[in-house]
Amino acid sequence: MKYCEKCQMEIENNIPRCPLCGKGLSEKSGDYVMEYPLTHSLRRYKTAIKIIWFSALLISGVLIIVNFLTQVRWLWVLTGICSLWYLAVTAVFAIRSSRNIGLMILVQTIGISLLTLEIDSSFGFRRWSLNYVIPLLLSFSVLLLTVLILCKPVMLRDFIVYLFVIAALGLAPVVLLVLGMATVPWPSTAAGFLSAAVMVGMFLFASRKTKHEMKKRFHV
Amino acid sequence: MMNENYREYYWHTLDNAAKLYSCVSTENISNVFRISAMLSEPVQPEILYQALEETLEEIPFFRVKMRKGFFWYYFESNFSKPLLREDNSLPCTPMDRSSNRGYLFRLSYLDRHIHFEVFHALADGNGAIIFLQTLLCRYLHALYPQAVPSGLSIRQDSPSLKAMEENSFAHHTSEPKGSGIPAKVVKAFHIDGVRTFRGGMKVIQGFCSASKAVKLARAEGATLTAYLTALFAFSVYAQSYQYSRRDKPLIINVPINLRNLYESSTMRNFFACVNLEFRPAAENIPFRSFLEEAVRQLQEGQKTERLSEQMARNVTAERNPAMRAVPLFLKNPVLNYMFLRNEKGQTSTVSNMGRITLPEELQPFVRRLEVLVPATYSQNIKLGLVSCGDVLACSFTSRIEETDVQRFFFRFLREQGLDIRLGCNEPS
Repeated sequence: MKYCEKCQMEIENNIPRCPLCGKGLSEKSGDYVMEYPLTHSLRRYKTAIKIIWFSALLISGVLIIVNFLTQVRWLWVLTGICSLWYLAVTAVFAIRSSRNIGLMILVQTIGISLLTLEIDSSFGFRRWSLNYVIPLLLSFSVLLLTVLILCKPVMLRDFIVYLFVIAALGLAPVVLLVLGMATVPWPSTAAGFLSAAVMVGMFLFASRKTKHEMKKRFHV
Repeated sequence: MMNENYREYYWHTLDNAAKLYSCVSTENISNVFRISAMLSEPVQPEILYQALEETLEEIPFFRVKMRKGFFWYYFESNFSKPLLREDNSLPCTPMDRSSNRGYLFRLSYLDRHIHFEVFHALADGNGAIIFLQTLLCRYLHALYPQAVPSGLSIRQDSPSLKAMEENSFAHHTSEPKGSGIPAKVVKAFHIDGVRTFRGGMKVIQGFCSASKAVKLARAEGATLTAYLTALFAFSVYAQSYQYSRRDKPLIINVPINLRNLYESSTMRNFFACVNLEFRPAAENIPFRSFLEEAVRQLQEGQKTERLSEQMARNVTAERNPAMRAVPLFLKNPVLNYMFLRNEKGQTSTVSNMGRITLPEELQPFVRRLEVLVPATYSQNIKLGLVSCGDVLACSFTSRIEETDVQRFFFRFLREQGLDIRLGCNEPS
């Protein structure tokens, strides 16, 4: 036990100076108490994410300036910037939610769809993104999640909501086909059919769990 | 009872206060408080871990993880094994989902101390103390089976699981009140100082005789809460406020436990806040006037009408359709802003857990209890009070290096005749 003459109080830790007034302490009889650790583990900082956003902004700025100075076609820069931000978002999600595979698949599906759409429209808009890439990507994601759920039924509660959202998005190619924006029928129809089948399957084979997850995620 | 099926489908929503806390949890405002117990013998980790598992069986409410819904956060069963480790970090750091396996509490030990840290969205101080008491019962029974019987329970009335998880805010609000738009918040005086390195929490605690402290307060015609809150405000005034411009009021937030008032056994948040406002206009105002103000305002603020009105207003704000229908990623910044605004409207918080009476069989093995309320970015110093046995623990947490307020506080009590023993978490 230590004692501070100025404050007239005992101090139960083995420290050199009084925590209140900073004066030196004298010894007194009595055991020391070790309530707090002597060294602390370092806290992690989320600087990696800050670095990623900062780099993305920096490089975007550089690209725009280069575009103005060299008079290159505006569309090249736009593609570059979109690809850059897609990479940045991927990296941030990988750091923040690396264990949430369902969310990663959803983010990648949406990200790649938008990126290919942008590239397609910048380079002549031959509609290869709407006709092939987006429907096939959606079908692939739906199949991937379904296979994951079937292989690891324990993870059903984590994946089911993302599967539902991607399957709902998978119906969009059919809408695009009907509206005439997509011109090749078979990929969009396949995507729509697969998504509809998966959604029906979810409610037929795992209806209690599916409804439970929906209620939890979307309760107001 | 706690079979796989139960765990699979167990879930619940957040209560009114938790919805705010869940949206704000950063290094600057962690919303994690700590309750510690000092035992008579060094802690044995394997037995403590076993006791933790048993307590989680008895109180499954704490075995949850928080997940993001589209509109609100919610709790569902946590299937990982809980963690128990030796304390090696600063107190009241934010809950890190990955390193804590998704749990919203952190149990650690060091020498003879058990530290129980809880994220405020899960439970408030009273709920956490009930968990800790149950844990101590199981642990001490395993260590001393003759002295501590196995079926020892904290609560005489054995509340049901539903009673323990009740969202008491919503349950006890009958009619809506107010438009749901929060009232204007007065900016309060802010205790200034040099920030600690990376906002690390500096802890200074004073332990004294609880009975003597209560006698001291009664002699002045006040409750212990009123006396110590007034003394805290007086310390801030004497050491910091009277040298400032004195244009903003000194506002101390005192949470009041609503469980006795409303007959609730919930472990979740169930409290209302009374803001004590001091406007000392001159220098060298005596302690007496602070004490009278504190007593008067606490009595006013604890009236049932006031508390129920506050509760009704909060619940109405939460039930506002505009608030409910907005997705979470848009709500988070708004709730964050509202929370920070509230924080700026107070100088500090004094949280009194009251007198905890442990079961007789446990008393020889538990020396004292302490409660640490985390200091935040806008409220640099906070005070947590609890008394157990005859030990009153006054724990200051601080995010500034200066210790003027704490020094004044403890020296004042010393001058009134109380013997104080200090504890702190780092060499000065």
